[in-house]
Parts: sequence; C-alpha cells; structure tokens
Amino acid sequence: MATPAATEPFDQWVDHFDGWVGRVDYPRHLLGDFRLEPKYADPPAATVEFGKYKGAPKWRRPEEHPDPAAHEILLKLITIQGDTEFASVEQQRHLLETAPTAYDLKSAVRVNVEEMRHGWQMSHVLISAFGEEGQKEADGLLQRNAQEGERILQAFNDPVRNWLDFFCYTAFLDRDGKFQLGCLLHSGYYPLSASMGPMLKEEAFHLGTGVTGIMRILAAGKVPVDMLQRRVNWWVSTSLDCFGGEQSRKAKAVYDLGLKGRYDEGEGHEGVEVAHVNEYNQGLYHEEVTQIVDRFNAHRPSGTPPLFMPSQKFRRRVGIHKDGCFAIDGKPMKDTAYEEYLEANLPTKEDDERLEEIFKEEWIAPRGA
Amino acid sequence: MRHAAPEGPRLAPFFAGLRGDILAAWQSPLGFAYDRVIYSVSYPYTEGDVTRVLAWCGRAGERARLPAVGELNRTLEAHSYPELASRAPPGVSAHAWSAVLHFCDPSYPIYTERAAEALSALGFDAAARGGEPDYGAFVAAVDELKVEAPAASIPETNWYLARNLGVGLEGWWQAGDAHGRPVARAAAAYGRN
Repeated sequence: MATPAATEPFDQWVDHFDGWVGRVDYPRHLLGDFRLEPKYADPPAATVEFGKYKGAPKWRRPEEHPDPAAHEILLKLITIQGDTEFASVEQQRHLLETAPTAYDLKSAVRVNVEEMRHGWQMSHVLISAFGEEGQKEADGLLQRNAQEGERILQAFNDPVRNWLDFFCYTAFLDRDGKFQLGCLLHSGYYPLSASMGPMLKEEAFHLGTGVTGIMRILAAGKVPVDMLQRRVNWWVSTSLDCFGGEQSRKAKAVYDLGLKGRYDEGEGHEGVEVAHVNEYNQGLYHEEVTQIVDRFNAHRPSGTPPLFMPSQKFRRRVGIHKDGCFAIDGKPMKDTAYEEYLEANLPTKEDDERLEEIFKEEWIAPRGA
Repeated sequence: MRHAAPEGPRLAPFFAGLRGDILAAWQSPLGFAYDRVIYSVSYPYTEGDVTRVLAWCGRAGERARLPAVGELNRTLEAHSYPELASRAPPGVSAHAWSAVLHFCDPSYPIYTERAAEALSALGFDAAARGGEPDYGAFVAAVDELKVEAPAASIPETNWYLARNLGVGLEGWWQAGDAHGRPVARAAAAYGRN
C-alpha cells in the first residue's frame, strides 16, 4: 500500500515532534540516519475478518463504517496505541548513559527510535483521516508525559529504573505491545491494519533484545535470581493489565464493529465468547511468556533456582482480579498479610541499591560467551 | 543504483523458509561467534576492534589496505547509510569492507558469495561485475528485502534486519544445495530465469 501523501497538518505535527525530542532531551546525534516515516503494507485480508460486518471491504475512511460509533472508538484505539509509543521513550531515555555495552546502547537507541516511528505512524493515521480531532489527539501524544504520570495506561507511567527493568520491559511489556499490534493487524479499518505489518517487523528486534538480555544476565550469574524474579513479577502483572478487563462489554463492542480482533484471528479458533476477547488474548500472552520463562530456566547456570511465571491473578490493577489478594501461584491470601507479601515479591529499594553495586561488575555476559 | 525488487510471488519461497533459517543461524556456534564480536566492539573502533572484525570474517590480511583507525572512524562517522557501500578503499574486499561497516552500523549487510548468489537467484541484479563483487547492488537488494519481508518471517532475535536477512539468504542457498539442486535451479522451479 502506498503511503498517503504528506499533508500540511502532518508537517506541522512533525515540527511539534521536533519539540518533543528536545523536551525529552533525546541525544539527536544518536538518532543518526534513521528515517522516521509512516510505512504501510498490505494487510492480511482486504475484507473485514470478524464481527458484524465480516466479509465487507475494509473501510478506507472512518466515515465509511456503517455504525457512527466506530469513529469515536477508532480515534481512541489509535490514540492509546500512539500514546504508548512515545511514553516508552520517555520511560527509557535516562538509561542511555549507563548502557552495559556499546551494542546495548545501539540496541536501546534502535528500540527507542522505532517506537518514535510507531508514534509517527499512529499520528499519521490520526491526522490523515480524523481532521481536527485527529490533529488534537496527535498533538496530545507529544504533550502527555510519562515522567509526570500523564500517559493513558498506567504501565506507561511506571518507572523503568535500570537496565534490568529495560530488558524485562522489552521482553514482557513490549510483548503485550506485540499482541495489541497483532490484534489491530486484523482491524477492519484499513489504514490501521496496513500500519501493523511494518510495526510488528520492527517489534521483533525489541522483544529479541529483551529476551536475549535476560539470558545474558542469567549467564553472567551476578544478578540474584530472586531479584530477577521480583522484576518478572512486576512486569508480567503490569503487562497483563494492558489487555484490559477480562470480561468487557467495550471489547465486545469493538470486536462486533470489526475494529480490533483476536491476536490469532483467522487461524480457525472459533467459539470464543466475544465478551471475553481480552481474556482470550491475555491467555495467549500468558502461554507465550510461560514458554519464554521455561527457555530461561533451560539456559540458567546449574545450581541457580528456576524462575517461574506469576499467576494471572497476582497483583492485578485491572479486570476481574483487580485489587484481589492472590499469591504468585494464584492462591487466595488474607488481605492482612498481603501488603507484606507484595513487598517481598516485588522490586524493592534495597534491590535497586544492590543493583547499583552489581552494575559495577561484569553483570551481563555477551551472548554466546 | 537501485533495482526494482522481483515480484512478491517470486520471493515467496525465500520468505517461506526465512524464519527457520534465521533461528537456526542465531542458535548455531557461528551465531554465537558473531555475537561475541558485536558485544565486544566499541564505537568509534579501537585498533583491536578492527583486528577482531577482520579476523571474524577471515580477512585479517587486509588490515594494511584499510586506513589507520582514526581516519577509518572519521570516514564511518561522516557518512550516512548506505553511502559507504560503494566506497571501499582500493584493494579491500567486499567481505572485509562490509564487515567493518556492519559491526559499526548493523544496517549494512555482511557480504558473502552465497548471499550474493542467493540474491541473484531471487532475481536481484546483485551478481559480481567483471569478477568483482558489487557491494552497492548487494546492499540495495537487501534493502528491498527489508521492505518486502513479511513480519511473520522475522523471529525475535537481538539481530538487526540486515543480519537476519543475510543469514536467511545463506540458509536458502544452502537448502537448495543440500537438496541436490543449486539455488538458481530451485528458484527457476518457481518461474524465474
């Protein structure tokens, strides 16, 4: 699919983006010759793949959708996706000064600049199809600030304290991103669906950076596994929240309108209760992350304890288990003991202080060492 | 000079096996050896980095044909991708030059005969000219593949797309060979000349 021609409002937005780069204080020389540009590719299907309008041609303009409610929902979906892209850079920017190797610095910059491009992509979709409303939302993507807690999803306001967090973030939270992009790949709204292929291709490097990073940390054997486990507990539970409530009328409406599908849409898995579409996608994510943790364990140095996956009920801030008292294995706990339990199983200030010392050693191995 | 990519269907057999070829290469001893280099070099290069990169690609003997490390770094820093593809110093092979470029900027693919032959078999004009490899055409062809590759064919690795496609091309070439049919003939089976 050819990229729609640049428009004056988008050019203006690019100027605003330049201001955002300054506000984030991103080192411009590190951006190098990376081409920030919108990219579109033919989506997997030319017709709507699910919902009430299955089989109809995908909608090229929001106003082509037969249901007027689709306009508002699309605007929100695209805005939320774009918001996460710029937020992640704001969360990670401060790590550039402390990269463990030159290639890790290069990798982090690559991750950041591709997230910026994804933000460009969503802004381009907003501005090229949603008029003044789209321009306002695209400007908002550059105005909200993760450091001030202003991003739409809480996960994108949480601090990314150090490089251990960076690798967990790219392995677990970016994987939620992959699942969201995978769901939008099947959207009936053509420009959104056509945006996802190039974004997913870039996301593979981000996820690979995270997973490889954690394997390198395990191989070096300097970061205690219990400390890593607490990070896994934090980032996996945070990522699960990003799927939204397990039982959701909103998600059902979005699905029925053909705007956001299941991650594995088109692979013949029928019989999913549409009101549980978030739960279904979350389950696929949990399954994938479980396999990754199993791979970590297969590669861990002998004599170290295994990592394990926290239950889908543990420390949830969204959905049917929100604010519930569940242990990492999913067993219910008495709420009187729960705060203390969380303190013992989530990253602590002491962990951060200890990590500062560990980071002065050879705490991460080159892959293949 | 850039060349138009072959039509999508002609690339389909290559993309069909790409994911598996990348993962196989990534998990192989050669993949780990590559990573030991990428995680050890610094930017700008030190003399030791240049030596290490050339040794990795089996071209240690070409060190004297490259400029001194200071001048080399100035050249690397002064140009944007892919300007340096066609600016190898006289006498420096495409293998050595591409490796020097790649370990500094992983957007540059590493030149190998097998990858070049695979590109030619896929219909790209990336063949050697007058007996000399054409690294500029090689880079242009890999750039086309970067655009055309389906997201599902790229697995999660810590490797840049240029590296993934490079090992994928080698894997595709070898698969053709392993099945007793040179890759050019395997490609012809899908309708190419």
